[in-house]
Parts: sequence; C-alpha cells; structure tokens
Amino acid sequence: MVIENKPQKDVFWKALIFTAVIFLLGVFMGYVLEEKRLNDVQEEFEQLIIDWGDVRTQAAYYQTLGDDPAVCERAVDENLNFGDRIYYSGLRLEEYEEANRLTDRLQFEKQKHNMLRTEFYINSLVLREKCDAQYDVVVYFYMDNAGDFDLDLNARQNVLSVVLEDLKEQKGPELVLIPLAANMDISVVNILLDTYGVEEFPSLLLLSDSGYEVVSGVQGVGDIEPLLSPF
Amino acid sequence: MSSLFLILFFKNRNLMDDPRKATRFPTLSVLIPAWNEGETIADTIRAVLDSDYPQDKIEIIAINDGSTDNTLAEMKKFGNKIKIFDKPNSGKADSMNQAMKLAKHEYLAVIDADSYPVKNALRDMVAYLEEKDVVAVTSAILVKNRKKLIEKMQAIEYAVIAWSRKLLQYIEGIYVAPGPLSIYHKKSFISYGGFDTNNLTEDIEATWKILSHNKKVRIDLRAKVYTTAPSKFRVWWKQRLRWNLGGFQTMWKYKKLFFNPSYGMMGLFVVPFFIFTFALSLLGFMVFAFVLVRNLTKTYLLSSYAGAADTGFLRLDYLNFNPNVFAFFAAILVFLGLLYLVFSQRYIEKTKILPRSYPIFAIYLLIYLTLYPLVLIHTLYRMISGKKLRW
Repeated sequence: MVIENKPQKDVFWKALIFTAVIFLLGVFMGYVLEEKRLNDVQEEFEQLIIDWGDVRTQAAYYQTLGDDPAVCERAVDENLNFGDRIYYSGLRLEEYEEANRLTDRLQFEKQKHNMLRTEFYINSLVLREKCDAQYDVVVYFYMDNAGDFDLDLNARQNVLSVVLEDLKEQKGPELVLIPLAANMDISVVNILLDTYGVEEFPSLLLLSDSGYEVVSGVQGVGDIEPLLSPF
Repeated sequence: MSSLFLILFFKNRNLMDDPRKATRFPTLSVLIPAWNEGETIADTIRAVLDSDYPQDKIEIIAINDGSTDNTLAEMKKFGNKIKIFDKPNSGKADSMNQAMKLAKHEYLAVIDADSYPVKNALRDMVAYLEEKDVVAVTSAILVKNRKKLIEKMQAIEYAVIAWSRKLLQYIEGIYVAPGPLSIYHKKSFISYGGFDTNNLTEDIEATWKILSHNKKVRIDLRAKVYTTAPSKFRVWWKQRLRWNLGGFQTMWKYKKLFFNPSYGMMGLFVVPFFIFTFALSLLGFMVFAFVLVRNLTKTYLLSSYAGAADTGFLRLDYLNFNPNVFAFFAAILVFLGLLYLVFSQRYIEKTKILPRSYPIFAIYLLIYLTLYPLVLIHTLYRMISGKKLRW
C-alpha cells in the first residue's frame, strides 16, 4: 500500500489572515485605549477650565470690588488649590503620553495645559502682589519630549522634578510650583525666557520676596531652599 | 509562525497520533557512531537489542571513531550480537559514510551513542517508509536526564521541537532528521552523496539534501527516543554553537534554493523559514540590546544626578502601569508561547500540566529562550573569526 500526502498549502494564507486579524485587533484595542485616555484628559481639562474661570473671577472680583481681606484670602486659597490640581493633572498627562504609541493627539492637550499653567503663573503673581500673599513662585522650565533622544537631559529633568516634588511637599502652600515647557512656542513663555535670560534647560525661576533668581541644571532641595523666602 | 503552527495543529490534531502500522518489515542496518561514549554506548546497544523489531531483520554496526576511553571495550561485551567497526578518528559524518558501505540492509537507522529508543520505535517508524517518496523518518527526541534546571529546560524544549516538527510535516517542512534516531532509505541516500563531512550538523544537511531532491521526510511521535542532554551550561552552549554554525553552513550551501519553486516546499518554505528565523532572532536581539543599553544608561545617569542632588529617583508612583499596544502584542506572544508548551507537553510527553510546572514554563519562556540570540551572536563571531569546532 502506497500512501500519498500533499502539503497543506492552504494553511499559509489562513495563517496570514489570522495574523492580520490579531494585528488589527491589537491596533484597534490600542487605539480604543488611547482614545479613552484622551477623553479622560479632555474631560479633566474641561473641568480645569471651569475651575480656572472660577479662580480668575475671584481674582477679578477682588481686584475690582475692593479690599476685603476675606475675599483676598479665598482667592489665594483657590488659586493654590487650582495650582495643585493642574500640577497633578500635568503629571497624569505625562504618564498617559508615555504609554501612548499610536496617536500623538495628547501633544495638543499638553499645549493647552501649558497655556493654562502660564495663565496660572500670571494670576499667582498678581494675587501675591495684591493680597500680599505668603508664598514664593517657582517656575520650572523644561524641554518637552526632548528627553526621548537626549538621555542626559531626560535624566536631569527627571531628577529635578523629583527634587521639586519633595520641595513642594515640604513647603506646602508657601510654594507655588509651575512647570512650563519651553519648547511649545507659546509667546508668553518665550517672553518669560527672554526676560529672565533662561537659555539652559532644565532651569528654575525663583520668585521670592527678595526678587528673582534663575538657577540652571540639577539642584538639590538644600540648594534651592536658601533662595526662597523664610516664611 | 505562531499562527501557522496553531492552524496546523487545529487542522491536524486528530492525525497527530497517527496509528498506521507497517505492512512489511524491511531489513535495517542500525549504525551507532561513537566517540568517547564509554558511559552510554552499552545502554544504547541494549535498547536496540530490546527493540520489538524482528531481530532477524536487524544488523547493528557500532562504530568506534577512534575513542580514547573504554567505548570499544563496552562494544566488545556484546560479542557477536553486533558488528564493530573500529576506525581511526575522522568525524561522525565520515564514520557513518564509511559504515554505510559495510551495511548490508535496505534501510539505515542512525542512532546516537547516548540515545535510547523505546521498544516500539523502529517497528512504528518503518510504517512511514511505505508512503510515496519518503526517504527519511525521524522520531520524537526527548530528554532522559531531567534533574537539573538546565536539563528541565531542554526537556520542555525538546517536546516543543517534536510537536512543532510533527506540524511541519503537514507542509513538508521537516528540516532535520536528527542524529538520536532517524531512518534513511540507503540506496537513495547514498545516491545523494551520504553525509556531508564538512558540515557541523550533518543531520540537517542530510535532510536538506533529501528535500532538495523533492523527496519527503516524516516524523513518528510514537517512536520516542530518550537522549542525554547537556547538564552543564558550557556544554549546552557549545552544542548550540555547533547547531547554529552547522545551520549557517547548510543555509549557505543551499542558498540558491531560496524561494525557488522548482524545489517545492524546500525552496518555498524550509530555506526561507531558516533564514528568516535567524534574521528575526538577530533583529529581536538587537532591539532588546538597544532597549537594555538605553535603560541602563538612563538608570546610571539618573542615579548619578540623584546622588548629586541628594535625592532618590526610584519611586513607586513613577512606575507606569498604563497598558499600550505593545503590551497587548507581548501578552499575545506569551499566551501563544504558553499554548505551545501546554500542547507539546500534552501531545508529546502525554503528561498533565500541574500548577508546579508553571514557574518552570515561565523560566523557559522568559529566560531560557532569550539565550538563543546570544548563542547566535557568538556563532556570528565564530564564523567571522574562523575558529573550528569538532563533534
């Protein structure tokens, strides 16, 4: 008895289709996941915008309607609370962006965040002056996405972020921390960089009672603290 | 490839335990080449003598390839039950080529001197020789020694290989009839030139030679042969180096068959499969090495700057647990890898998968398999440097 078997060539195109289905399913799932993250970020941003409107209105109310210290105090508190919210929202945005691989639509959201943080910076300065509030403002200028290719810059920025987080934890409401991306082509940020002569990154602009100071590169908590106001 | 194997499996799962029986028992010359195998040769010969194949149709030729240990003495203990071919050392392939000329029978069964076929192996394997154009039949090679971790890893690996090899049979893609136990049609095989004495993996080359003549190779999973796997990492590494170098030699020799339809599945599948496997393995390793070096550099820089700033940089809240599209593909790969292991254990070893097996599976998938590309890198280095290996 002679048995004859032919090779099962049909399995090749079946395997190709199966692989394509798995691949497309993976891409689809990844896309859905990234869309969900984008929606979360957008929803959070919408809420931030509403909160920001409230904060700004309070500041305007104080500026236009008088010197009531209670209003001033509330405006400062709300501003500080908003600062915390936008700071943590920014961290989450960074985390999501790191995980996203298929779309770069979060970049647009980052630009909107950066713009909002710039407005927050100005509001913080205005309230500090008008209400004689007891806090220092630290602006952290960094390069967005540049660390993907420059590991050294990436490491310096990461370490400085950790240092600033420690500092913020230590100082609480005495410190307003505002990270601003220097390379998003936002004109107010460019003006700030020119005004204070910031050319290296990462850099810190420290605005205290005694004026301002710009420090560049990695700093420890112990290096920054003496440059701030002793509240 | 994973998709291909899975589709082949689900299409043929009922055929894998092929119960075919031989209608006749052809005469077999069993060649057992040995070089310093004094510790194992006796058991190998005994396993053949204990075979249920009609003993009047078997001649056993034990080849002593210039051993310097007690191999010859062990062979002599069997008296006239076997023929001894004692010769100066000339390598495994040449030894077998010389012994083939002494062989009187229709088929050649080649058995490594550290391998032990089960009783039914030869009887079941010859059934496949009745299939049209089949010139070689191989067996399910399994690991005998399974105490050390490295032996356990190889036991899993060998079962996976046997399972995959059976699946490859359905597309005429069996690319090797390995040394531990394979049977060849003597006349055809000699007419193709026998074993290549310049190749480090004469079994792979011999199989490619058969396939390039548009002939077929089969595997019988009932025919199990237990072989002694390396117990030391250094020996394992050397063995893999030899396999890879031999693989490269064979690829180079048959490069003209690459996508050549005149050679059937040999040209359209086996050669491209081999080449792409090596290329993808290298590419995968390079990507892995790039990511590893990048992360190590990043960690070094972070720790340096963190030290300068007197702060820590390792924080739990800095770990990013957000899944991405690559995580999905990695999960699919791990899942397919596990499926492979489970199926191969069930179909080859015929064992139940116990929960205690999973850590071993994890080590196999996540550590053992990552050693492959490293051996490949070493192979490339050896090829460039031109250093030679012996069997």
